[in-house]
Amino acid sequence: MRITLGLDSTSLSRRYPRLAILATLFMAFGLPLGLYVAALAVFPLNTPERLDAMAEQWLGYDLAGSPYRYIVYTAFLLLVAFIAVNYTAVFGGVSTWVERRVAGRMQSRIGPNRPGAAGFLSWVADAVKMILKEDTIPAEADHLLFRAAPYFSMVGLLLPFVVLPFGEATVVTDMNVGVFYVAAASAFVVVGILVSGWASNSKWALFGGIRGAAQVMSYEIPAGIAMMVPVLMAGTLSMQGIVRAQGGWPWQWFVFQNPAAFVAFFIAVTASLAEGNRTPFDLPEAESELVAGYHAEYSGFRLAIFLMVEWANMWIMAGLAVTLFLGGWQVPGYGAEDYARLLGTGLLPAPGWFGLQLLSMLMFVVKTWALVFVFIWLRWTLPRVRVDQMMSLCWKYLVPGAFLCFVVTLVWQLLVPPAGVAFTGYALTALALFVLAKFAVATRRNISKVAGHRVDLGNW
Amino acid sequence: MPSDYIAVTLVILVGTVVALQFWALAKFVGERRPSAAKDIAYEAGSDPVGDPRGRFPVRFYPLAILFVVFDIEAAFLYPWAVDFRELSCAGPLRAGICATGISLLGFGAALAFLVVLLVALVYAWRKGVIGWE
Amino acid sequence: MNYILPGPSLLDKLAFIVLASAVLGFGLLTVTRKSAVTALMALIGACCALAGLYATLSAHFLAVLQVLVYAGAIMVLFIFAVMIVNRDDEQPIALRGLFLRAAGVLGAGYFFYRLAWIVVRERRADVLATSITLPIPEYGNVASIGRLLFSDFLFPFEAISLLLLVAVVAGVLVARPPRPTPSGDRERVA
Repeated sequence: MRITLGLDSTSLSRRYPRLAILATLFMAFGLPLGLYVAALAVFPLNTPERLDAMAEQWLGYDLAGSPYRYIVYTAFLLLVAFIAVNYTAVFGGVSTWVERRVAGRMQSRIGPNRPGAAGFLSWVADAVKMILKEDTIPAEADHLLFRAAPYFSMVGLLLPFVVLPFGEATVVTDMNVGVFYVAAASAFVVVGILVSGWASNSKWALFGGIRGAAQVMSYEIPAGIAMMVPVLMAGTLSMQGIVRAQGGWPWQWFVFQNPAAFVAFFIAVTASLAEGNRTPFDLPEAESELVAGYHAEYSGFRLAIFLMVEWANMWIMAGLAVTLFLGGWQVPGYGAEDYARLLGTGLLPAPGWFGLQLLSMLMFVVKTWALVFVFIWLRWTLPRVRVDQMMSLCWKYLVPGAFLCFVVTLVWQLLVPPAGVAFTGYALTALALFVLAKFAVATRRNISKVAGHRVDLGNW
Repeated sequence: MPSDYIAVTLVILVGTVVALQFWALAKFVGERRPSAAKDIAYEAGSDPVGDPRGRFPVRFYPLAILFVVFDIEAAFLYPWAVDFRELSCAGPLRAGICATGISLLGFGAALAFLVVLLVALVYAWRKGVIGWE
Repeated sequence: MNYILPGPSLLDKLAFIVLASAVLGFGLLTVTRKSAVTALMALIGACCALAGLYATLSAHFLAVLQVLVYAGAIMVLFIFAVMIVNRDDEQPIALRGLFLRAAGVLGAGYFFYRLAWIVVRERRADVLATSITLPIPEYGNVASIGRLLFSDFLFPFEAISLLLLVAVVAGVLVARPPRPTPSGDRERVA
């Protein structure tokens, strides 16, 4: 059975320009917005008590006493899981388009601009194309492991989403071992890379797999220790607890609350770039050395899964850094008592509460996208490091540095009074703003040297 | 707590369904023109030479040991990171601040642990495990 | 004061049946697969299912630890070891001869007899009764483990650091490069 889909997005959008714009608007705003709204509507209700109250109030049904309580609750959680997994896939797709457009701008070329407005639909076209492509498995490969490897990677990607808080109440589940759980989840990614390289039975893939495993596991150590700094400061492993220990204003974020956390933030981001195989640490798939590295033999939908994992991982990396160091979803000017006040005394929240929830989600999403943009920026700016540089950066600089941050934070937490912490917050925020301003001025000067006093955004 | 694990299970389940859906699309909708040439491992266009799974350099082994050791060490530090305030303060805490001074036993316990592991790192470093020049 | 949890619910029983059969199934795959890497994958599956069993016993920290250390770190070490040695062609050591096989069967039979005996005895001791008693309400979570680890079990904890140090030294020594012998040849290191 074979269905030919006369699906050529370029010609379609040329023939029906209005349709193309509508489709783009839907995919660009409708789909993510729909997912966010669904998350906002569904996630906060995701406790058995709230579900009981909802059934009682709206349906007049006594769910708490019903034998089907767990089934209803599980069905509800299934909806939550469905939204989370869809968000992962959509983010993976959208970020490829963003990355290609940004890369185009940085290299003075246009980038994908045909399917849909500003080429936005190109990620949909790519996804459809990749999924429908022929799926080949090398004859000499270990078929079972070859098939299993992308699945391992995907599980490793999806697991952290369970505890990543998108808003004050918008989280799949708030585990009390949150940060530790995230560290454990990355184990599956290593296994996925190693097994795909081994099972392909190709030299390129095996080199990529071994390199990848050595890199990801090495950088797990500094990442894990640097992530312990916010744990020390908050005194809890729960992701929501760590966000609640911070505030909405930049000087209340953990990154500015003590100098060691400031350093630990950069260690954590560098290490997570390496764990996510992003440039400058994309050695496992260095195309000029290893063809495509561990996924050299993959094609079709299995390759699509690997690529989705790689891009969607950016959300995890950025989201984790934002949650642990940059205040997460905290809205400036709103504290825990505002959430409690708007929630009211009943179990079912008031509409104003949903408004505040939306605001907190917006904070998290904007911060995370900003950090994702920085990752993309780094990728198109920095050259790739060598293998020996990668190893020595990790073990000779990041690991001892992370240990030092850990110890300094310990002493800091025990000895510095709240006034000192507040002063450090203001001082480090001011320092960061000063550096950013210097950077902006220098950039402006460089641009004016090349292009006069004009920043050209014309070809976007 | 059970809800946490149900959520984890369900996310994995939904992920599996998505993967199966990709597979079904590729299998039933996608085009297939198998040929023997496509099934050869890629080696820059020529036929593969020799066994691709040659033995691997042994220098990866101490690296893996180092990883295991530090992974376990990090796992042990997590409980300490959660509890360190009350553990390392000589007296009771007042609003999270230790006014009575640091208890050397509590504070030193984790530091001693760290120092021994740093010795391990320095040893591996001196022996060229992580240098690779 | 002791806190009484409700007895095993349908969900607990279901989880136990699924996870226990997963442990057994993956365990069987581990010992029957010929390819070492496939066997290791099955072992990862068994480790994850075991973590699930810990989770059902409200040992949350231990469950995550099991995945982090066994499914993650130790497995990577095993896979590396397999790839470094790479002896897929070699025949596995099999029990040859009637006597050895009979001994194997007898040993396995005795083992299962003991297991069954324990299960029967424990049932009589009402361990599988209707309620589980937890010593403290936050049993198995990170904070309570930390408190125990740094008070009652401080010495074992410190001893672990020395053990890990020994592991690094041993790993480095095992994998040391071949030393040139006086005759000029390179000594082979196993």
